[in-house]
Amino acid sequence: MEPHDYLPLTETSFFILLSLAASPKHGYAIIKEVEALSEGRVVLAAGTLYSALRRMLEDGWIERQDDGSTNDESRERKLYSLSDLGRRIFELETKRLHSLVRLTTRLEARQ
Amino acid sequence: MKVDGNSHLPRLFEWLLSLYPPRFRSEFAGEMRAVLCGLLCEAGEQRGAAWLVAVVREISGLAGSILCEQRREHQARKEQAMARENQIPNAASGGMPPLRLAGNPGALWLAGWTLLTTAAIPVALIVVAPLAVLFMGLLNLGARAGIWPAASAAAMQALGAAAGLALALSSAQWLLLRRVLPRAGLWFLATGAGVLLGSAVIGLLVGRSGIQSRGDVWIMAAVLLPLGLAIGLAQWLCLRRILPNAYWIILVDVLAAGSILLAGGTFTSLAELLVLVLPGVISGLGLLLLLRGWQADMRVTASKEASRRQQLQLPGLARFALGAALLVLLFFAGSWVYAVSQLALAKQAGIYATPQEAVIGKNSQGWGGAEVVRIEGVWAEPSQRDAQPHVWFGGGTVYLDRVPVGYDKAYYSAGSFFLRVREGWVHVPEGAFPEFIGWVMELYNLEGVRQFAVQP
Repeated sequence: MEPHDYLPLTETSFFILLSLAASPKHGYAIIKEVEALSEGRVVLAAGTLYSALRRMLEDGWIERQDDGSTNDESRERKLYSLSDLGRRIFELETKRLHSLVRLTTRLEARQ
Repeated sequence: MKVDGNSHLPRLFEWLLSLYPPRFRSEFAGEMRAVLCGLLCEAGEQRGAAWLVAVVREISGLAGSILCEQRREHQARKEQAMARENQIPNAASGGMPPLRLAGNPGALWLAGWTLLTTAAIPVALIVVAPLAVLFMGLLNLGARAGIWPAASAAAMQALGAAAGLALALSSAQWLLLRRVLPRAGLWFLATGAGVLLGSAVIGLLVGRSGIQSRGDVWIMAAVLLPLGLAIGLAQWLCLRRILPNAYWIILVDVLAAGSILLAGGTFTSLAELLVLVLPGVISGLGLLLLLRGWQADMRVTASKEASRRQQLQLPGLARFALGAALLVLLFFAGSWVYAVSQLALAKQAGIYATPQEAVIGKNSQGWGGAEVVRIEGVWAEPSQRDAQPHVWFGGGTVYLDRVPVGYDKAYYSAGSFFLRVREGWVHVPEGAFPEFIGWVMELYNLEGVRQFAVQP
């Protein structure tokens, strides 16, 4: 599938990609980052996040690597980062949203 | 997972995590545990509504995610199974899809086929009334709106009978063939379509021919043989993609349907009723011979598949108990539906103030075109002494203006069953098992029947 075939993204997917665009993060940090970026409007539940992460990993949007540190159960913490495909999809979606905003602004200015 | 202040939550979350498919669980459960712990610890510091909102959000998020992952896993398994099927060697079939034989269909399979096919006949009789009521309700909507004319109860019962037989027979046979034939759903559709089309053809042919005046055996032959032919043709269309000699099924089905004629025109003795087993035996045997003569080399692959299935199945006793419990439930639910539908049909035909009026009303028409001159000696009494006061049997002597078509006299002693409902009395034909309906009425107190006294 081509990157534009995945568009438009769901809000959850968009915010996850957005949170990973700056730097790789682990699950808890993604939830917190999404909450902060959306100014508290989007609060991801753990179940929702990990279902989305599983799908993104399968589709090759993101990559997973060991953090090096361990959690309470002495398991390696995982860091998620954008793959090239994920970054391309994120850029395309951002462009699409920009064009929508531009269009709306132009229409509002005419009225 | 440690969450201050509530020891049940970790257990709940642990249980919810255990509901994920194993693959997902092994990959993400550890991380999810840590994240949930972090989120709930943080929410726990806030207390009150914020904590509650966080807990509800996490539980609902997990529930939605579990459903989504399980569905995905199910689809993945299905795709894998289909891929495995496609890998089965297929040289001998000349491009046809392979048969998926569950072991070796033998005597037990034949017994099951005979039992289910035979059971389909009474089941079809039971579902006639509910289906007729359903069709009548749907058609009445259009009739009330003036889109089409109202249909008669008899036409709806005929439609209900065809649909009932189609549903019962195709379901029963599909149940046994689903492990034998690839895409057995097509068999279900073909058999159902065959019964419905056959019934439509029979309705057109028999209704317009003079065969009704020729006697019961001729009428039965005119119904059964075309029905067998229609089912056979439909099943041949389904089978011919996998069996080289599939055309034999047409002959098998005609013979199976025609075998009922051995009972003669009526079913008055146990020996005659036993004839109803023959269609199952003949069709099962025919199908078995067709299947067994085909693809012996497929059995190795199929037996592996069957043993894998057996490993997944419940133990025999548990399956038997579950089946028995389901049958009991089905019987009581089916009895209620049957009685309610029969009463609705009976009310549609007419409600009378007394059983005597019901006798007169019921016998005033339906004499093959002859007019009723008078009805004498009208009588009615409870069908059983000291039991079922709402089930009466009544009759009278009906005098007609001429000998009707298919009869040999111009007067008849008519008798029938009548049931008491809230609004009055209704007629229920003997073939609809009125005393059984009376029993179900008592069981569920239908029509407030427990308040009725023996006196009318």
